[in-house]
Amino acid sequence: MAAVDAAYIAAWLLPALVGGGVWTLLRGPARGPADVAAAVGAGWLIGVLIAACCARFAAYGDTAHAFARAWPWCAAIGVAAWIAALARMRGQPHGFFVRAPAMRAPLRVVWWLLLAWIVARLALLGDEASLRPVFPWDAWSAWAVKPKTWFLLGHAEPYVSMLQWLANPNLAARTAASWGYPELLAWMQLWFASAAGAWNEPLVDVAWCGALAAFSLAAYGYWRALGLQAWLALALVYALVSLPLIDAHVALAGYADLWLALTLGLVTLAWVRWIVEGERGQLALAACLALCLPAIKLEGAVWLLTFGGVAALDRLPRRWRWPILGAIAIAAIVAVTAGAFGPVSVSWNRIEIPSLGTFALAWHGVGGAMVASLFTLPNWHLFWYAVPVLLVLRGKRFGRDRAARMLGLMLLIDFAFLFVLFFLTTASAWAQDFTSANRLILQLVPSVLVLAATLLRPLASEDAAVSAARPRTAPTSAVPSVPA
Amino acid sequence: MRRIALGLAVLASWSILLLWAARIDLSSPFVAAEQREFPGDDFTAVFGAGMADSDRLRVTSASEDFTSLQSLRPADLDAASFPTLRYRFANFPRTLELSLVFRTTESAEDVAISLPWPGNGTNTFDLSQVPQWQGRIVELGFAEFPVAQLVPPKDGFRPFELAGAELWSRSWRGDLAALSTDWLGAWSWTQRSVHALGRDTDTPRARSLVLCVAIALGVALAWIALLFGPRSPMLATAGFGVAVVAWLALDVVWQAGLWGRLQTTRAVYAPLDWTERERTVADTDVVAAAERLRAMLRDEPASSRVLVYADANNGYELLRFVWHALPLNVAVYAYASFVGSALPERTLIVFYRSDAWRTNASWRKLLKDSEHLATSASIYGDAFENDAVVVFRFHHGRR
Repeated sequence: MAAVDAAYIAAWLLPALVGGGVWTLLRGPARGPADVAAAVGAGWLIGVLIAACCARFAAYGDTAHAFARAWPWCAAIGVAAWIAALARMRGQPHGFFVRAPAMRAPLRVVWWLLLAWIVARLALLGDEASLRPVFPWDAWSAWAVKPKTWFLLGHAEPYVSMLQWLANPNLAARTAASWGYPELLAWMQLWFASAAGAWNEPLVDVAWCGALAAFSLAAYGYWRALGLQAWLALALVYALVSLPLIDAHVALAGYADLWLALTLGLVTLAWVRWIVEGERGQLALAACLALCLPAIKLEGAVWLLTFGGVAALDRLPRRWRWPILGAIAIAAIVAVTAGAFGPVSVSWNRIEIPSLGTFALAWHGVGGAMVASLFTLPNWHLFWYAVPVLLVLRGKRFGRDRAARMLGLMLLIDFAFLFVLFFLTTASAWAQDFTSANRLILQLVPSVLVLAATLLRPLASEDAAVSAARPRTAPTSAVPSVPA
Repeated sequence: MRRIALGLAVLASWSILLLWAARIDLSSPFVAAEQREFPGDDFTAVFGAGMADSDRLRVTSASEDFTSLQSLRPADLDAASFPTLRYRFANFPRTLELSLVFRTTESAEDVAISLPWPGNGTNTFDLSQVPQWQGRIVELGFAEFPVAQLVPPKDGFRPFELAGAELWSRSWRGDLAALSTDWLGAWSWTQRSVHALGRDTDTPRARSLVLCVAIALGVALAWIALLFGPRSPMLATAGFGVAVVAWLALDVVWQAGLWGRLQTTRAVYAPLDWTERERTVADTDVVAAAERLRAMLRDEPASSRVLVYADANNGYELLRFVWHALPLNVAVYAYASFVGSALPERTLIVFYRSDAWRTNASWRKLLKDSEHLATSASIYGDAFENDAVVVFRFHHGRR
């Protein structure tokens, strides 16, 4: 019998406490007045990923009690993190909180109105998600197959290809079209289902709304720490929460794209904070979260590679960058020529990726469909009109701000990948029939907003380009504010 | 003075934009020159039951398949002369979808066009974008059915009233009203909503609201730059302000759409507790078939392989059946068909709403030594020819 009882409520609260402890431990000195928001928001997302991992290792043989088996491990991680974090905070001048400067009255009104609108939107989406069983096609035909089976079966069984399944009829294994899909999200779903005491899709899927709310909090906290004014940080959060396709993925919960988008967004938030403030903990957090990306959805491997590549490039001494990039390019050409990409087969006119398929390389004219998806259909409001305008107006920042430059480079490579995918491979059909193309773009949208916030943040002065050179103990809020 | 000029220029530009968006024929009159009115009581309930009430048609029940249809046979109606449809309902439930249905002398086939949820006001639809709207209209009507894949069929119908319909010749007023209905109309969620909103239905749509708002924003900025100079502080201030208003306007429209969709969901699920919500799905017949299969196979080992076959035109239902049959060790037969007769011994083959097992020669050959699982001991008996689920245990040869 499904119920919203103490266990289910604990399944929601525990990730915030555990993840909040981890986040606080990895945070440097208190940077901004909204660090609490970042700790709770980022903490919940981190905590859910930790809970899913704990469920995987503690409840593989007893999935119906995944929560009961995993929460002690989860709590232990949280207690350890909080003890370490509190010990670390003892020597810091600000402790956990930094007092926010008072806002002017008109801006305060704007701030409250925006907050009310965001809360109302999230409440509406949460209501929708918590009412009905899983609805969108891939949600029930692909993503929820494993957790539902495992929960009802009482234990997990491996999913194998149809060939293996048929070839070994006595093997305790299952198959599905989505047999090769990553399983982190499945364990997250099991965490909530087992806490509810039944496989109950409304109670599981409302977590999608929790994820968006958590990311919103996290983004607000991070952006305030970057020096954005409160109203501007909240306006960017509103921009994200108001986007129709994001909302559709919460209301019609079940696809992995939203989780991938928000996790990648959190990676970029932590990475930018590390570049700007030099907090090593944030780099560790970004790296750990980035490693989770392929465990959420296969495309996550691409986003992990681009993030890892650009983050590594950023750490290279400037004089080594071009030689190493050249060496990588030559190695790639040699590897393509020699067919040495392991399971990934690459040739001049064809790419074959296991589990994803074979992509013949040729030009596909899907510009009209892509333009419609981004600019005329009601998926994104004016988002894709605003982004180029912002890039033009703030373009000079790329030369002066390392964080903007590196994040911009990462997103440029990501979008170049999508361009190749849609315009040069048979995946163009996804754009032509208005299916996966928008969802792949959705995965990058939170990170684009992180870039927007980075471009809009006040720099200490026109030539204070490389913020990493700033003393690590100086809180961002102490940096003189230049109107954005 | 320049501010007044700016206001007038922007207003004029936006008016022209609105005319373009509404596809207004400048030569048409403001008010429709010809109008055909069809009060609700002119319609007859074809499927479902209805009774005339004053000048309305009160639709009191749906047919056995949960749909309802009201139609009339208009005299001497040339489609091209009347491209604007106006329709009005009262108490139309959120749980029903509405379609316009018509037949023409050119084609005996019915044409059905999805319409936005009508609410209680008058809605307008531009039929000139519908390719089939041509020739003489011999029958015109409205069909209602439970929102596809979202509302359980038995929960869809609630009594409502058809207040009336009108067909107008081309006019500015009609085109602007049709644009308003298109931009502000309420649509239900569909399977496509997670991919691309605005492509949820196949209904021809008006010019994009997002595009028009973006153009309106660009035009306003261009006028400011022209009248006040490109480096004027007003360009930044007013530009930002207009952009914010534009975004908010789009978001208010989206919020209204979300609210409407939520009302559909709430109408079905809000009164239910958590357990009932989980069990309440639109495809109740698929669930029943899956439960029947699970009951039949309750004594099978958990490792037993189950492959489900359905006819090619039944893909959605097949996948839903597999979903509802979990946690059986079940998969879709189409993905295993490449192995042919090399299927493992004792594999269970399930035919879902298909009689291919007795009508298809290749299936008969494959199953010639297999065991038809329906036994006299089963509560479902052996007379399975017309059943939703038929099960065979595959054997390579005679045992």
